Amino acid sequence: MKDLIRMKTSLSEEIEALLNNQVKLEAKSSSIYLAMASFCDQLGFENSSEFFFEQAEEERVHMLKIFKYIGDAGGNPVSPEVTDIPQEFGNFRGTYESALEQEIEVTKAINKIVSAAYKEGDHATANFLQWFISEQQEEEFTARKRLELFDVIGTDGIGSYMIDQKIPEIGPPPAEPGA
Amino acid sequence: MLILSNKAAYVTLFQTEKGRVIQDDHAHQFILEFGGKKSFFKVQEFLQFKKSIDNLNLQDLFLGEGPGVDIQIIHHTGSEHLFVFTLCELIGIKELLSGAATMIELNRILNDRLLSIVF
Repeated sequence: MKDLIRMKTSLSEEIEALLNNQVKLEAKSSSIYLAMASFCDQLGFENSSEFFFEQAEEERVHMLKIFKYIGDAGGNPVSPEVTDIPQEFGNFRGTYESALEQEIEVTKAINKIVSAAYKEGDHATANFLQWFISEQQEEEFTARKRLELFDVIGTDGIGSYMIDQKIPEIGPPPAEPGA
Repeated sequence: MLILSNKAAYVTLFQTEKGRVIQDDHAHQFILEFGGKKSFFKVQEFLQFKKSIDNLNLQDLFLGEGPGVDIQIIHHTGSEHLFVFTLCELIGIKELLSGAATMIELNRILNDRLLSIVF
């Protein structure tokens, strides 16, 4: 008897559901970054607003990458419904704290799928997600660096303005020698 | 009954008093016989149909009030299938699909462990 489902898709029901959840998480993440961009714009922090706009776009690209992978693997990608997006983040620092927390949640979710993929012997999905693991490592690194600016510079006087000026300078960790 | 031969075109995956699910290896489709009707599903349609049925919470439906609560209409987008189930029929279809899914999974394991060519 043929294994019709395996012939149709390389994804198990569980992995497909986890990947679709990730699509939703990335979409929600994109929307939250958009709300953060608006919030920072309202506060007058232009660089931060621009940064969060870019992050929103980046998360959407992540979402599409996973969405396309599900389809290419023969699965059924589901266009996500995104609701309950917060529009207020307390203050300038709170916005960046929320951003870091959000990246940590995404990292946890990616790790969960990779673990499930290895458990099922789905090396294709595990391999596909390696890019996301590196990406999340970088996202968490830069999110922490941005948050450190608040401790180093402080928000008194022109501190918040200075932090906003420094935001575009934060980049990914330096590459390993020979990499 | 599961048959480990690639030559069998039709295999009954699971059967109850209410109906049965058949796998058609030649046409790559599943056939659902239920309530005196026969419906044909492509693989993806079958998975989606099962998901729709799985998502129905029987307890909530039994405790629900109001007109029409004891009738569920399952429409599968992208196919011609439109199913109308009473609560009793829903129990029957859930049992049938669950049993079929188990046999599909068992077949997958058998294909992986016994029928794969080992180099």
